[in-house]
Amino acid sequence: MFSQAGHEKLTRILKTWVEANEHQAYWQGLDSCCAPFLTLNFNDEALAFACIQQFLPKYLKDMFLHDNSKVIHEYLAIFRHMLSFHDPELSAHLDYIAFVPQLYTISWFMTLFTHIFPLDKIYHLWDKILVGPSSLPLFVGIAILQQFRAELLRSEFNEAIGIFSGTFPEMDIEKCIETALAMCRATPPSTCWLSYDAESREQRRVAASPDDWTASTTMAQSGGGAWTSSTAAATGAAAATATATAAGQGEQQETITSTTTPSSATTGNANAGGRRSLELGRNHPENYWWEEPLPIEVLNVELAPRIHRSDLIRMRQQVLVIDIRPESEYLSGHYPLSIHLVPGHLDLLVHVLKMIIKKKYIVVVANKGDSGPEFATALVRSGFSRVAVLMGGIDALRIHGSNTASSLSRQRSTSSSLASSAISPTLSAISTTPTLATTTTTGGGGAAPAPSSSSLASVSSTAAGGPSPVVPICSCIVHRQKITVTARVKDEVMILKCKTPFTQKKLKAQHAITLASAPTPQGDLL
Amino acid sequence: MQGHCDEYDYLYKVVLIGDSGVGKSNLLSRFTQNEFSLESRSTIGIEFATRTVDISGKTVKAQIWDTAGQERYRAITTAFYRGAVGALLVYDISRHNTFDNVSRWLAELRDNSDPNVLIILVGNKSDLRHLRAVSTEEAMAFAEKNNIMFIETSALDASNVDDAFMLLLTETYKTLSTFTPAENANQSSIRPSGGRLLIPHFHHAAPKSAGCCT
Repeated sequence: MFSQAGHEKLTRILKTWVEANEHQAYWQGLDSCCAPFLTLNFNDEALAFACIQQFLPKYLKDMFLHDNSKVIHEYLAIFRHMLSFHDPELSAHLDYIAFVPQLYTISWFMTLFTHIFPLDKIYHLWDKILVGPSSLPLFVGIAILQQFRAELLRSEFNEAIGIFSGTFPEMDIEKCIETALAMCRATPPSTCWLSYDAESREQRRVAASPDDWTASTTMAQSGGGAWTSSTAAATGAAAATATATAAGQGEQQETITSTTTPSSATTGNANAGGRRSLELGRNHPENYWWEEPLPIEVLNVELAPRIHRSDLIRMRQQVLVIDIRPESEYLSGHYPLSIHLVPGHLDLLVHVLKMIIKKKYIVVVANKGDSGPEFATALVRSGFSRVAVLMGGIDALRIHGSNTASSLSRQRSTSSSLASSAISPTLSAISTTPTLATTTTTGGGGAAPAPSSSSLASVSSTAAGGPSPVVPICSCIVHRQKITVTARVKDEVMILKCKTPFTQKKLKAQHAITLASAPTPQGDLL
Repeated sequence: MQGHCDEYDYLYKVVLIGDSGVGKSNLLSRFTQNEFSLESRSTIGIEFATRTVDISGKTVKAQIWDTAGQERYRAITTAFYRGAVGALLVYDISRHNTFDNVSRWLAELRDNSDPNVLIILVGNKSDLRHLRAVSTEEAMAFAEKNNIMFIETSALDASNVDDAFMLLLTETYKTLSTFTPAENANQSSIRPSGGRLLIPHFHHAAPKSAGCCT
């Protein structure tokens, strides 16, 4: 490559690339990305060019824009979140010593590691990257960090900088790849969605649409420009009315009712089997406040990623939901099997939580504007791994409630990889008897009609058994677990627990909730 | 990774700035490892190296931050200037346009760093005598006008490289430490030793009176 001929060929390819991609520019580092392809196709420049032309849009989408700062800052923020997700201790430490990814990872990602590894290791690594998702490089970055984990945890800022000066000739690339792949597999896709990444956008679209939204979306689109106009109109409507009927089986009926008259409602008799009808005032996912991309400043202060409700529902058997809304709201309606605690009590509860959390993932549910992300960050700092905040919090669950039935049936038919395990109804309820001094009492909840005092919709569910296991909002009688923390003089904190499993049969048997769909519930049950 | 035996009295962050290809990374590797590479790759993002030196009996650890010269990298390496106490502003004596851009680098540096940051203008590649495009006088005049230090170096033949860093570190030390050196006490320590191209390189307006104490 260092030959005169190699230089000339590389220059030609780079110049061609710049010509062919008018919106992008040559960034230092692009040469390093090209070099492996040229080395492999030294006598076929056209092929080398074709390779790089295909390769960059998938893994370095928009990284070479004239101004890529938004793209790369988002990428680095997500990297930091993923590090927190998989290695909270390391992430919290690096955060504490202010060793931010901007300082050491730009050359990793902008060159997909060609800048720091020799060519033979690059071939090995890229072989895996080429068949992986576009998010894989993020996890390779974490895997690199983890090879220096012990050293990093001992380091202050100035020593950490020493670790990352130069290349890594000693890196065990095989271990690095294995670790990265394992982390990638254990990561809900929505937690590393990037707004500039094609794959993420597609996933986001699919997650937002097929069950909940396809009908209305398609209609809005075919309605010719109705998309934006109905969006605008819908924004005017303070709330919406949605009725979803799982007519195919007639097993579940859920109603979301709102207080204002629906305007610009779109109706869709949807889905192949005509399973449901949908009336939605807000007919496009973009309308929801949580669909807006978050400003980089916000991403940078948070340590935990956001997870889309589609991933939560899909992986529900492995997720413990922690609800931090006010107690009264939790009692009125909550995610099945979720627990409730007061965010301020986290310090006191860390040890207990570590003992009782048996699930692989933790998802924090909060109200809009609440301290959900802060609480998740606190969980990360306390050493909990795989913590995410639910995008849209309780609002997203309310919306989802109207469409769950069809959502679930689709999952069955497509049996997507992670969903398969979720079908099994073997739910182990959270252990209520940790070894600490705890007393468990039952009661005090709102079994009666459960008005949601918070915002736009009250949710009611009429469960009738059958194949629609997920009711995203349940209003059962919750279990109170009083925990006496002995470390302090007198500290008693309360965890509330929902024991209602996802399966409809049990739901029906135990807590079938029949709610009047009174549009304006009020009052506090307590 | 160098083993970090971390016994030092002071740690100074020094940044290297200047256009692409002027030799920042080679100056750094010459100073910290006494290495030079003709086939060096471009710097991406930020890279670091350290060297511990002795100044007036104190151990000073220089933590040198190198960055991509390409202008568009500025927007994504905002943390670069933060906390820097000294800067080497490098141009290539054989390419006049790299000298033309010096004033832009200077402006950016002053916008983004502490006002007291000490700056040395470094004309690199002094071994390329036959290709010289920027005269010493021109550069020196610029340095004087802007009240910064000046030196010419060659990372390739190593001339004046240590001196450039040492000059900056020593002046920084004088500015930052409470210790006040005797007049001219450090003159000898920064005299170039054996560099072939000796430039009467700095003027002693250097420790800017405005700089030090407040």
